[in-house]
Amino acid sequence: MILITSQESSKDSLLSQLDPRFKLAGMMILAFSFSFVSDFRLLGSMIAITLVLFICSGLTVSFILRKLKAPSLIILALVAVLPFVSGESILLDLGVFTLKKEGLNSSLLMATRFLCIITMVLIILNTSSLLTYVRAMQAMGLPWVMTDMTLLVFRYLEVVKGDYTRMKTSMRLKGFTGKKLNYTNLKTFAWLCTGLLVRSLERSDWIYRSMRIRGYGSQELNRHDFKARRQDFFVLGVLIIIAAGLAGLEISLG
Amino acid sequence: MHIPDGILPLPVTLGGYAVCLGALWLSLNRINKRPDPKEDIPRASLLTAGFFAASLIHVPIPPGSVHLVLNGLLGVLLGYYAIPAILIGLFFQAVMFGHGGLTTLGVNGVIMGLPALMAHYIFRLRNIGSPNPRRTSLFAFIAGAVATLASVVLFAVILFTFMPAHLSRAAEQSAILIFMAAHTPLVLIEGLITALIAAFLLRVRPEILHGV
Repeated sequence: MILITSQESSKDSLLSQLDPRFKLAGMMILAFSFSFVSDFRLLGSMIAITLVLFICSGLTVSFILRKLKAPSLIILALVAVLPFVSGESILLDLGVFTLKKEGLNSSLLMATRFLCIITMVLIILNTSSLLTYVRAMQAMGLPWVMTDMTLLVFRYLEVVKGDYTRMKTSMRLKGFTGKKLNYTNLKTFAWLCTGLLVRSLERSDWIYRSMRIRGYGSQELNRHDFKARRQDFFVLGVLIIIAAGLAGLEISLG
Repeated sequence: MHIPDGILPLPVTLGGYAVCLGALWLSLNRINKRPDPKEDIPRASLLTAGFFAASLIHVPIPPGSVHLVLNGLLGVLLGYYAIPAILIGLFFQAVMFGHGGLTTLGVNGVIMGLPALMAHYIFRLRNIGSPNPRRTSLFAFIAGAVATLASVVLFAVILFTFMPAHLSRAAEQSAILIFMAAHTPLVLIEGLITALIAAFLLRVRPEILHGV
């Protein structure tokens, strides 16, 4: 399940036309303001903000629901267990299990925050390509070590994953199933890891040489062609006001 | 062992970013002090991609299976590059697969990154005295197991202590202990796999064990 690699939204949508640097800044500010919310009366506002962003993105409901399926499973276990183990006020006594009010509230709070943050991130990130966002982070001052490594990891991730798939297929063809936990199987897993690492290392040697030939290390490659327009400042301003409003309401209600 | 968005309160996620950025600053500072820091970037990046793929390997632990964490091995092989590598890996996992999150990137970076640095220092101890295959495997085992154990402890303590659930102190402690007990096989397997990989690398590409 890939959440984002390329731009999925229509290029005509409002969010797609914004400067990615401003989208990133706005997204992080909004995500942190969502994680600050703990008052139930503000959950509706969070959902409404996420819905407005969704409308501005030009993405489809089926696309969002498809992408949310896998991440939602991660939190499902936690949210399902908490109402039965956390709190003291009993809402429903089922004999072996007792449903508790505090646990139910915590579950609802965490699930809503999780879904709003991940949906908002999903919406914003799918309005430009991942590579554009990495370039935007570089333009925002991400250290060169991080930028160069991120771009190289992104470039070679699929290549290395291809190595992994081929090696796994070849192991399967030789009869390896790896379904039992024993020393022999662990040794085979370790061989697989070692093979992947050695292949990556050997590939890195010729990549470095070819990068050197193309001038890597001799010039600064921090140029970018992002241009902030009035609408970028306006949208970021609106997002900051919304985030500050949520935080202010949380403090005053809490 | 990634904490998703929305679980932890804001002060904890911001605190995670502060600690993680401190560790990143220290790592970048050490990297920039090298004679030619750019030389090691492709090697560190490709190994990071290799680790990303290797973490897809599922080891059977009945009744289910677990994927390898490998942060100990990452510390052993990448040294100070482990922190940027882990943050990049976590970023990609968050935006590509929805594992972890962007607000919890700092906390998850602390959970995975600090133990990786610890593993780097542990593995360096093998150079005290004369390094031999047995010492290499032993220190790799300790580095792999200790890093995973530290990650499990950090994850459990941060999650169960700061999660906004109304758990009593006794329930919190029980949850942490149960979580740690459930991960004991993983800790041992990570140690063993790290030791086996170090032993294989010593035979085929020993220079990798000197770190990036």
